[in-house]
Amino acid sequence: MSTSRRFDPYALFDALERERINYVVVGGFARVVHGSAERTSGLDIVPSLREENLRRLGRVLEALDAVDPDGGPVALEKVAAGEPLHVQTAAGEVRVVPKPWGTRGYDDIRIRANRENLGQAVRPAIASVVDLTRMLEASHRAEDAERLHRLRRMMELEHELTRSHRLSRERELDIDF
Amino acid sequence: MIREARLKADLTQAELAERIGRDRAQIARWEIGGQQPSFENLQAVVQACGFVLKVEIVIPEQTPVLDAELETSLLQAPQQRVQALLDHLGRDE
Repeated sequence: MSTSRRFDPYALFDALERERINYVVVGGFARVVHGSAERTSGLDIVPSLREENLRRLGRVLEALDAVDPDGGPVALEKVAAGEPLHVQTAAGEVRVVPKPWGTRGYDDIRIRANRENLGQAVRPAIASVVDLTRMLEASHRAEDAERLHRLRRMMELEHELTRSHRLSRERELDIDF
Repeated sequence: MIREARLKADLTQAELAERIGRDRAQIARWEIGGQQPSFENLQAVVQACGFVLKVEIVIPEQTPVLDAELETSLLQAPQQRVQALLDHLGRDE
């Protein structure tokens, strides 16, 4: 995602939290939280499609001065109909994705999502690496192949780091005894 | 991979399903990643599209720059990873 307004994820999370929106973070930002070290300057969220949740989400977008980058009105009804919505807000780009590729939407991915402490009292639900991988695998965009490669390499390195950490802990314990 | 093979063979999901004796919905589930095909089913699909599935065991490509970036990030807490992203974006402006 690229943005002409400064990306402030904390302002976006605060606004979503104030209205108690049920959502899961996906896309580049979620992968960064897991350790993919990508560059992204926007937020992709999968909201619960319950009517009340979408109504509150509408209030959040309004409070964030959301505008359609193509100049049209912000059409939240697209989300209820299963279509993604892309808006520019005062705190950066937001993409509302009702049903990411390879998933069945909010109820499908929230069960494996984890609340991550991002500081500043912010703990959003972040999609699991398994679901983020599914999304990229189901995408047929060329740029997602590179992202998938990065995510898979990240998982391999994480496994290696965990293993080497465990081995060094075991060695330390051997020495102690 | 299934979608790629099917499109290369210029087949619809229904045509491919008929060739392997499965439902069209099963092909769709495999293609969108809702369900992973077994290796045998993957082989059958690829063959039904007129291709051969070639599997190789190779030494992974070395990517030292990417690995260094990822290792640094993995050793950080999620909060630090977000801060690193924001620092980079700030520098790019």
